[in-house]
Amino acid sequence: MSTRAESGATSGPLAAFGRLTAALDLGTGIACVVLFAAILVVMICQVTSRYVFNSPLTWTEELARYLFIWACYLGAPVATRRGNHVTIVFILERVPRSLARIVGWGIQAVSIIFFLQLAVLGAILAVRSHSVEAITLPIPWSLIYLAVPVSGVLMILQTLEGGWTMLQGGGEEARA
Amino acid sequence: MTVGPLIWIWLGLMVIGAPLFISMGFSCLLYLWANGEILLSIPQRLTASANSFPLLAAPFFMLTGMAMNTAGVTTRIYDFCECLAGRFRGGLAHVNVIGSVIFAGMSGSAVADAAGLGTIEIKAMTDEGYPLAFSAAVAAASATIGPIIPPSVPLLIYGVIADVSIGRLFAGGFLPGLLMAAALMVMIHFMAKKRGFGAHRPPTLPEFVTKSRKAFLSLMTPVILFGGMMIGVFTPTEAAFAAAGYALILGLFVYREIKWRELPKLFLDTVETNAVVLMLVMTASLFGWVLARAQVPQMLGAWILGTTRNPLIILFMINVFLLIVGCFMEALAALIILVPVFMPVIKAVGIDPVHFGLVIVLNLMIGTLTPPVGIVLFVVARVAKLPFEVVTRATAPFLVPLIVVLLLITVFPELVLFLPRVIFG
Repeated sequence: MSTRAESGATSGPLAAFGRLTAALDLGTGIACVVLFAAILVVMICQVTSRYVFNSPLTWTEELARYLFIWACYLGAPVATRRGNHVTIVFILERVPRSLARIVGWGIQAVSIIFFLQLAVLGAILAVRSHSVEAITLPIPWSLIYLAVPVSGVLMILQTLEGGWTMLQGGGEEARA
Repeated sequence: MTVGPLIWIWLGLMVIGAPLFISMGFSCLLYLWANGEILLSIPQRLTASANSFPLLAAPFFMLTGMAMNTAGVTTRIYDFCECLAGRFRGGLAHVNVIGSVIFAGMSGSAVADAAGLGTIEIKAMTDEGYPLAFSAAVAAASATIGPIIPPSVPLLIYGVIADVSIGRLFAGGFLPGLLMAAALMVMIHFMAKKRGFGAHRPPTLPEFVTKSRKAFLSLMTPVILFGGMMIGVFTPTEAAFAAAGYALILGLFVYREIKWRELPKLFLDTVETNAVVLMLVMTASLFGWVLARAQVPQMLGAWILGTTRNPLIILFMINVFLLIVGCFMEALAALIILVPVFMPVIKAVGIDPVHFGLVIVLNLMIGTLTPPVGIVLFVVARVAKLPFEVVTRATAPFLVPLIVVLLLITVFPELVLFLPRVIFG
């Protein structure tokens, strides 16, 4: 949910797109917080049912996994917007700025192709798996695979909006 | 398309600065597409590798570390360590190492250690007149203890990929982590003598009692984390969840340094950090799967086993290879791609997978201190506001004790395997 300096225009399609991606980022962020809170609640249910009431619930582990999958896919566009994905900027920071700019556009193009494929393939997979049921929960796998196209589309939009920030530092952040 | 172009496209994209998960994902996409394979396996494999209950421990480890940094626990730990080691020559540098050991028992990541504790340590050492580059170097080198002493995100991920007991891996990390601390402190001792660093006066008894009491509740976190797990009651995920819950309760109700309205931001940061790591895990597993379909592990295995069947020589070869790879690759991605590649050989010559896990993780953590791709160096350089090259050069001497420890645990598997055997039988 980072705020970005206005990219010049305050009105027109560019500004409208900026507002759209900012709103999407806020929405994604809220969804991430809710998902994580839900994971915590499910874990509380699991631990108390097993260790306090001695009758473990069957569905907690599976539900926690599915919430985790959604949290992974939705956290990715947040990191894309913040430019926090692990990136090796060693060379990029040491070439002339004009060259870095061209390379940056190339990287954006490659990223968008990958996300687009992810979105399309994920959508097909989600549609095809509507009859595959989860083990302990009455939900189809479509609901889980739905996270892939949602994440893909969000990452495309955030890359278009702010892909350039990865060149302006902060890109090499990683969690080893 | 053969495996060659796959690897070149991946390396090429990575080097010119594409996000790492995109360089892995995109090269797999091209490879599968060029070979006319079913592309639907891409979203399927990606999702399958995130669909793991043990991996759910990762965000809890991250949340614990972040909550500790937010709740001022890091400062309490630092003050406590200052009481313990401040009196020695080069005292604050020793404090730095001991602080990292304790923090390592709560957080599973070298970056969390470097960014959180590192900031405090570097400031305190600079205020005392230590050279900034030296302080940064000590903070960087000691941060690598974080993922060796449990909990550990890299060991957790290794356990998931190699299908090894995470409890055993965690227990196996204790001794090597303490050895790293000892080796670093020996190095610091000699450097402090040569450079004539001073010492603090020893703390008075009341001071010691106050500072210990202030740190006591935070020092209980590792106990909660391992207590349940070691006696086999908790699964690692539940233990990680309990520790994160404990850290939150400490911050919210006991120390009252985390405000309720800060909670959403803490959660969002956790989910984001976790997503960054998991995107690597997911795309690297896809990459590993593609390599496996192309029979790369088998070919490499046949080649190695054709050269030698001596476990020690094989471990040495792998170590040298990994130290080189570690200079150029991000540690987690290297771990996820290479473990499946090496595993058949490791099993064929009878090396204990717990032993191998500690060797590979320690090796790759040394890689976070080597240029050009040294993530801990980047973080510490940013925290200390020093150029990357300066931190790199100052950190170089500390690679020696760390590599010595790597050699020790490679040659003497008992250093790793003793504790898991005592605890789990």
